[in-house]
Amino acid sequence: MILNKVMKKKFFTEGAIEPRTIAKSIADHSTKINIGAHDIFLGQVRGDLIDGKLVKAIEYTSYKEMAENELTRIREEIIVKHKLTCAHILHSQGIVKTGEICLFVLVSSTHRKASFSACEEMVELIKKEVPIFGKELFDDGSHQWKENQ
Amino acid sequence: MLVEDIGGEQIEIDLQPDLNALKNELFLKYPSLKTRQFMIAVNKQNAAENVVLKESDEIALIPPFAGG
Repeated sequence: MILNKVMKKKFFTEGAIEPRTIAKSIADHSTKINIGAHDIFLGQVRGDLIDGKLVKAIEYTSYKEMAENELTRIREEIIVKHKLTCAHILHSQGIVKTGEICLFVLVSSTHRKASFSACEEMVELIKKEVPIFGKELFDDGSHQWKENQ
Repeated sequence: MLVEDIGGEQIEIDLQPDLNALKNELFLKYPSLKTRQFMIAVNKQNAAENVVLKESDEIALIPPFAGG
């Protein structure tokens, strides 16, 4: 059987990113013995107090096709620039409660310095260049649109 | 917010020669857009500068990003 399948990375998941997803991703790398360093970034929904109202969750949406194109481009650029062994990005869609994880970035390289720089650069680019939107849901039922600083 | 300004997730608008003309047309039709912060994507690519438009182009008004 010939499989003519284009491998497309999955960048989005519905709801919060579960700790077991992160643990599994780390475990999946144990067979790649050229890796000497991983760096991980986890974005967590913060319970900001804004004008006396507490953020209880963020509802994430995106301009999905463009977001996937941008994430693909960023991932590939960073892999080449920092000579990474591999890189993974997972972002939530839908509602993520305060204290839960909404972004998981894992980069792997032969030595630590490449992982440190690549992880930071990747996260900054994701925040700056990917059309993902967040509606902050307050404890009183109202909402406001979040904007990255 | 942008959806509320233009009254729907998708709208059709008469073909404009370029992006600047389109922006003027949008501001004329939906004055509340003037107070909003947004960028424009043409065919899912960020259009930082003025570009010539074709009938088939998909234009998106994109609000500030909040990923991560």
